[in-house]
Amino acid sequence: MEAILANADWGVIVILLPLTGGIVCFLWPSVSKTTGLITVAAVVLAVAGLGRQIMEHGTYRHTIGGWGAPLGIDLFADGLSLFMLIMTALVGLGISCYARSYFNPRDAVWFWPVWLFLLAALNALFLAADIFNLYVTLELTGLAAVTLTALTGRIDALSSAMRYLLAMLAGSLAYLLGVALLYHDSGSVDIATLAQRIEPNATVWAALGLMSAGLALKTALFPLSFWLPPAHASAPAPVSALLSALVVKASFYILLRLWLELFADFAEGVSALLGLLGAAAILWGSLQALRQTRIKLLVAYSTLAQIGYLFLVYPLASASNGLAAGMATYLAFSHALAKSAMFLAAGNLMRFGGHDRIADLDRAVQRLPLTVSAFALAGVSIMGLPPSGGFTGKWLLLDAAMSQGRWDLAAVMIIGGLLAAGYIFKVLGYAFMQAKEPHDARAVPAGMEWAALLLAAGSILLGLMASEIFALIHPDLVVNAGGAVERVWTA
Amino acid sequence: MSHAFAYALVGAGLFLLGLYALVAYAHLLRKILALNIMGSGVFWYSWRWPNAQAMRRPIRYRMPW
Repeated sequence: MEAILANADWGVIVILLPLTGGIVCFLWPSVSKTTGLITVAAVVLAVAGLGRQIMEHGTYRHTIGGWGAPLGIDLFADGLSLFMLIMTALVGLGISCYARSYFNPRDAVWFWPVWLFLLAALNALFLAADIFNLYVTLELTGLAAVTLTALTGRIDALSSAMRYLLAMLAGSLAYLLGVALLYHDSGSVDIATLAQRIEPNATVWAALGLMSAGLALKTALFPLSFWLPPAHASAPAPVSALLSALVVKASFYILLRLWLELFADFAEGVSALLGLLGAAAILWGSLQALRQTRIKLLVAYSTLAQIGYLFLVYPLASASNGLAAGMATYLAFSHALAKSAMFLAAGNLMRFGGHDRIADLDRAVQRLPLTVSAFALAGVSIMGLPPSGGFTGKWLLLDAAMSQGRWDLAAVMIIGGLLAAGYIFKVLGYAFMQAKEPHDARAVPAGMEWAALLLAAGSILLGLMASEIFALIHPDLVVNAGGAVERVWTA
Repeated sequence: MSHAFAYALVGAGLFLLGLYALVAYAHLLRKILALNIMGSGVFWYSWRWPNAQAMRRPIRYRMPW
């Protein structure tokens, strides 16, 4: 039994489980809630199994059908992929527990199958080993995300989902054109082969530009972020949490992977541009969040600002001593936990008052203490206060910026933290006050409140587990007692 | 201008035409058509482009057994 568990193809199981679960939920809608929850819990266990395999062997590679690259499709997982899979599984479990109590029966019939298909697509994306498979799984992820956005059928949800669909497809096509150009230049789509054959000629530069532009559009980097606030604000609360926490991280993961494997050596100008746009995103997103009167739009603009932090990794990556993947994944994971908790808390507040106006959060702190605590804890991580995961990620970024002399980036990060404090405390302040016309509250199921609180507590816990997490991503780096990261030379 | 370069140019032209139409027109059907044209533009790149690295891989005309 032990041998079977250790040698099973956990990568294949991680993709097939949510796929079959989604089909079962679609065919038998009456059991969709139970099936959905069991499937997501099983995916968490399967990711744990995959993690154990990676801890033993270093990386995981599986050739589907025994065909092998370049003819067949390979599944590949290293520390970075494993981290993304863990993030998806854990945040997905929390959101699934919330969604169990959130949806009315009519919407639940559609939510569960499409959410499980999205989970399968995300897992396949993080396990993809060639750039064309990354395109396929990216398209699947985007289509499932658009379907979930349009779930309620309200006019604002439909129009923002349509805008999201058009922007998503344009980004995918730009990425696909980049894939075609890279294939023509090097004769292969396998990432490992490409890494050996790539050289900075005109075709590769064109591919780099197209892929960066397409993926930046899908990750909602500053000028290309027009689709995100309406889509994330008009979707139902668990769907907003999924979109902000997981779907934007998928395209960011692809850009990071291509950067680290293929483009890092010769693309200094592009990384400077990405850093500049990231800094602009931090300032613009935080300022827009301060202006909002509705809580879901505020949280959506906060997502924009945090995505800017993710893109600050690129200008700091080349001189960061191999820490780039660790910084990016730490930021991504802590943001996923915190932002999903914020959206779930916002969903609770909407259920409680029937609206989401910030100024009318009528004494929510007295009547929904768990929810407001969840929002506050998540806000601690978003602001970057210790001891949260957000603090560790932003501290690593700040440390890298100051040691490389990038005082401009460090200043932007600090200002971004101050602005984040501004909009978090704006919401918390109104939660303590009585509204002009006090209204009766509707009950919020305990499961929904606890799901939000546990996700927010997770983002705080992440800050206390820095050394364990770095051991997962980089087995040769360690966080010493002073909080600094140093390389351990294994003999 | 070589054969391959002509294909690449037309493909790029279709892609840019579709992208312009996606942004410029407000009617949803036109946007969807524009996306289709962008997709067609990408498909113009699915030809065999002879280069030194691709030529290094020998093509088997018989099964190896």
